[in-house]
Amino acid sequence: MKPFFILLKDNLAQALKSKKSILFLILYFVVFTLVVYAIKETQKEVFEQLAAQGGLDPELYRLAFNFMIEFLQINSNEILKTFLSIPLYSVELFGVMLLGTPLLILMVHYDKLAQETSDGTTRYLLFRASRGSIYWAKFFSMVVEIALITLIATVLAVIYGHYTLNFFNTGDIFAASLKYWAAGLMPLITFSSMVYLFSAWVKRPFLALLFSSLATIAALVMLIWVPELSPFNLHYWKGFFIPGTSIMLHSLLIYLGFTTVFLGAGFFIFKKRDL
Amino acid sequence: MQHALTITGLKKRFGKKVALDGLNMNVPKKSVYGFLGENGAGKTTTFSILGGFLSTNAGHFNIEGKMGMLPQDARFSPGRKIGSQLKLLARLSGVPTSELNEEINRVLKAVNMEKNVNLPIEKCSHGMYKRVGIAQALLGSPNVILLDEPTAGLDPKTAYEIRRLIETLNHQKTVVVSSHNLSEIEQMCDTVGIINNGKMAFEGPVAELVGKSSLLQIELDRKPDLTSLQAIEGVVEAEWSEKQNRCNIQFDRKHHPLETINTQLLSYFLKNGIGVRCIKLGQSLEHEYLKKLAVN
Ligand SMILES: Nc1ncnc2c1ncn2[C@@H]1O[C@H](COP(=O)(O)OP(=O)(O)O)[C@@H](O)[C@H]1O
Ligand SMILES: [Mg+2]
Repeated sequence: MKPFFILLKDNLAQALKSKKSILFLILYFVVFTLVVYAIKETQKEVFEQLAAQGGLDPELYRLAFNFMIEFLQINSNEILKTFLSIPLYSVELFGVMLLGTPLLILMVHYDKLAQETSDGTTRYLLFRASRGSIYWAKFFSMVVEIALITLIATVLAVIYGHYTLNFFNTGDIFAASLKYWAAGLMPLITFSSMVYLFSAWVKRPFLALLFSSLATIAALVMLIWVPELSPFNLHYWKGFFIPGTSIMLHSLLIYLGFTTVFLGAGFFIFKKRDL
Repeated sequence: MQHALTITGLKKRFGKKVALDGLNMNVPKKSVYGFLGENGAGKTTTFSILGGFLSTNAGHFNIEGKMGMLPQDARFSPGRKIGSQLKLLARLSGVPTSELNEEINRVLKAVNMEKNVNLPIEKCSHGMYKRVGIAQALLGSPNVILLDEPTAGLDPKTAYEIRRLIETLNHQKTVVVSSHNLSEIEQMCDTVGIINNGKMAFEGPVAELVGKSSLLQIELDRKPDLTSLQAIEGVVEAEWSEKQNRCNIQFDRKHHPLETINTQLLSYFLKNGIGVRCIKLGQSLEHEYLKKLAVN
């Protein structure tokens, strides 16, 4: 197990130093911030209108929110969307985050294994560490990176979005956001494991990029038809607003299943391959 | 004899191409073993299997203790400093954190690179790159060190230093070196293995390969009378090479001990006032090597 941790630590340290990672990170946060501000501006108007109609009452918001949840238990996704579009724009932020991050994963990580294999850098590791420790350390460093990036995005969402978030759930903004983060991370891990599978499978980095791009796009398109699984669809997030439903858990389990299949297949291929 | 590395019946195919065809290899403990063979004979494939880069189709191997290795086609990750790269590899080789710097200094010193700890790896010249490769093979003091063409493409001075380094490892470590430079193998190694078409064509002490010869090369100050030389008992044939001032004498080693032949030849030269500059038994390793390949 020890080589696993040594490699994990080293992979993370290298990722932090890599120009490519830093560039994409900056790009990601710039785009993220712009989108957040754009949304915030539109929200402002809504709140100003509300203020003009006789001021803001946090208590009123909370009541409205509770009513909404009860309402949702009987009504459709469309209504949920309309309601949520006013106070809960942080959910939309997560949508942006989730749309951006798979692409980010793809661009930064598509070559993780394929590149090293074609360069022959893994050869210096192979007679010192098992293939398993190399494979898993790379994958987990990828997951840790993605988790950290999205966690920072979450914290930013809380900071930027404080103005509106404050109105309905003063005490728990951060805790609620962390829950969103965790729920959003699962599909990301699944996307990563798919990209990683191609990286373990295809020998040429260019082909690995091509295949994982196509697969990512295909998966994103396919998710449109499966609202329960799409992190871009409010169905996926409904679990948070409707107490007692298991829809979220159900979706998470499906993602976990796919992740296991992708990682297992990748490991099987990587273990047997000539490197 | 005890072996630090044994390979039995190793087979490896790449598609239809058979790279290793039942290779056997026995490397004696604490010695330097020269691994010879033509381009494409299967040396790198053998090393790659031992390093765990390639799977095998049949056969097995056993390495006693920790192994260090200079793979032929491996590259370091670009964008790292030599020190940082070696630190990672040293950690994986089981060097305790407190001894990391000391260990890296030690291995870099062994290849004359101790001043380059902070040099980015992509700024290394070919020779420096190779030397870092050799340095990493020494990390964590492995018992068995495999070096795939450690002197290939190096300038004579660097190649000499690497040879010296390998010679200092002799009797402490088991070292397997592949090379195309036969005179350097002859100089460094106790044992050689000659691989041809994925099979071991010869394996044994260098002395056996070179020393079993029935040829004497004698450098003289002038040409002797060849018929009188051939009249000496046991001498089969005598030839004179004007250019090298050398007399090549084939003798019947089976029935006449080397010592007797030598004594008789020397007394002949002494009697006839011919000055003897040098006597050498056998051809060079190169000659024997080519002969072994021709037989196979
Ligand atoms: N990855 C590979 N795919 C196909 N053929 C290979 C591969 N690696 C080596 N070979 C073939 O196997 C044979 C042995 O190669 P190698 O072990 O590199 O020889 P050497 O190191 O002795 O020069 C060669 O004929 C080579 O072409
Ligand atoms: Mg080779």
